[in-house]
Amino acid sequence: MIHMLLPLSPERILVVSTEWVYSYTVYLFINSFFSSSAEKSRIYGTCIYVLQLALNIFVFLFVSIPFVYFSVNVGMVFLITLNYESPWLRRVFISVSVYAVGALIELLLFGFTLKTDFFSAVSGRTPFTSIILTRLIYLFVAVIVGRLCNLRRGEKVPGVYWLIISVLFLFNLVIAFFISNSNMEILPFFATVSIYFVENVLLFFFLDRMVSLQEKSEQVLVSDLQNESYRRQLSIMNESLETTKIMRHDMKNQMFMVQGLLESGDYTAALDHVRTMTGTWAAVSKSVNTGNIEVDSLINFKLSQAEQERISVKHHIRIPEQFGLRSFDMAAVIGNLFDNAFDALKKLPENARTLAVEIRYSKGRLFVIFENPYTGTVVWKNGIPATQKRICGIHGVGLSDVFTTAEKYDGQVDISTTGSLFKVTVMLYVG
Amino acid sequence: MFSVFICDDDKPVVSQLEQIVISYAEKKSVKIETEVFWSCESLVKQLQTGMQPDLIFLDIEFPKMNGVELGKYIRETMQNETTAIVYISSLQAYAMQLFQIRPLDFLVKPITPQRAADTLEKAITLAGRQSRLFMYHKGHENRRVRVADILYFESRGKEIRIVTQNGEDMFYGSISTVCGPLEKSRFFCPHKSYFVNYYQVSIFTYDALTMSNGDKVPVSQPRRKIVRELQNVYEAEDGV
Repeated sequence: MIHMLLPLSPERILVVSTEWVYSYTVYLFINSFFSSSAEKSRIYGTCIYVLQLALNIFVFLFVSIPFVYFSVNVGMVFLITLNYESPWLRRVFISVSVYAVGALIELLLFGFTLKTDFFSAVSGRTPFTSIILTRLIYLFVAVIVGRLCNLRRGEKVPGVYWLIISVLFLFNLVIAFFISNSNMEILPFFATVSIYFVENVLLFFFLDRMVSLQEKSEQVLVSDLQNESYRRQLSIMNESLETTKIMRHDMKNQMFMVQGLLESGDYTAALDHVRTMTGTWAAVSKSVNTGNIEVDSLINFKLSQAEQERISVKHHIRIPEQFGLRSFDMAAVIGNLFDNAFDALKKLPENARTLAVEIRYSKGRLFVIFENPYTGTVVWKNGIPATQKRICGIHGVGLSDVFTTAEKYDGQVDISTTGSLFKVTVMLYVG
Repeated sequence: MFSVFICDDDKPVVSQLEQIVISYAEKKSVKIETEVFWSCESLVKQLQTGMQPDLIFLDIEFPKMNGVELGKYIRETMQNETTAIVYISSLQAYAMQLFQIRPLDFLVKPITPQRAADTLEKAITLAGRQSRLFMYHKGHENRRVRVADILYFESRGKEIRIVTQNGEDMFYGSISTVCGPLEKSRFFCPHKSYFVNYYQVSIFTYDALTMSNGDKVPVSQPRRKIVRELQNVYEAEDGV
């Protein structure tokens, strides 16, 4: 029997019994680098993870040659990456990096144990402590990398998350020392270690879920606001269409009336009547009508808001009826820029409330330029003017959304202040 | 002399535009020559004689050949990217087709004199930027090309390939030698081997530029940010 040839020391059993934590950590790393929706086959993925766990245990127990251990580890992660669409070089890089991070942690801990008496001073079972710590730190690094990757994809991670995770890590570090230093019998010891890791994995899992759920609920809230705003915009659009229809239908009757008034010599009444008519027409023609219903309804809605706030808007909008910008993103850019300008303008006296809006499509790009006077000083934070406003608990709704959308379209946002004028220029590649 | 063609079958609009151009020329003391066409066909005939105006105020709706077809003829058949086209329409809604002709602007009827004057000024400024001649040596010969006609330069070893609206040529030199004299004329480097005329780009994407003749020029990774920033600066300066 092959296993008879090698001694099964308690340390080796500990490594084997916690090997699943290593596999789970690899799984977390892979999930950070690849989107789970891009997974080709769930069955293939599961099989490879199980095979990896089994092979790692086998090689550790029966082969014990570092090069073989390295090859099996990197090779298995590489096999997992095959389950996702990716360039070959990236696959190789990820496979080696995932292994290298683990190896580095192990090496550092090993060096730390050798160089200092810290472990032996606080722990009677030095090898146990380093095995447990290696697993814990590796798992922790994977969780952090996962969050950072999501952060890059635009997910908002609240500051409190980092606090919780740091406290959890320190707390678990202390527990690890306690467990490995306890004088438990070997069996209860393994059971405790297993429970300890299960508890750790579950904690990280639920914490992750919590952040995702919060993100999702914020998205739902944003899209609810969006939908509400669309509904209002559409009703305004319909109203203005109705007015135009009535005007057209009514034109003949109105003309007869003017004719009658003129014939009867009542010039003042005739003139008044014409004035009323032109006034209504002017109101109708003031609205934006580019043929792009979403842009039109959004801007007309904002124009009516501006009117209520006594803000005079000078707009120049030249865009095709259809082009490659999602309506949600359009609302994120245009809607937020309007809101931002309104906020600044409301602080000014009514006669100074002027806003110049230019939205122009040119050679595959969309330019959105907002210019308005402002008062006071602009507080800059990471190159974006900081906003004190919070809507329904959503952080960062405003200019930062404009930046996120611009990034999505490989675009550019420039913000400048000259004298008392605040100018935002957004460029998006829209094809 | 800046030449303006006005092509519209609506007499009041034509006379209003003529008036705007004349008063602008008087106010700014610039020489502007205007010519009126009542149909796209008559304008095509004039273009075929080799006449190339700086600006065309062009109505979209005509009974026969319309403004879109004429725009296509200028850009695609004549390969003329330098003549600025300003569309006039009673509508505010435009199809993508119109944008593909790369008009300088759209004027909505009834025309606001200030808006039309602003557009005219923009066209004059843009034309002024590229009105100079670019000179290069080919063997013992000095050759001259209108800056506005140059699409881009490409570095090929010790030689430079110059691509213009009328074809291409090769001469000895490097990108750095052509950079200096042309930077003020809105030329930029999207890639270390290319030097491109901003006004001759017909489609911008983050990683490539499609030139007016259909050629693709890459935008290298390290220069993407600069190219994006530059577009915002140029468009903010040139915007009406």
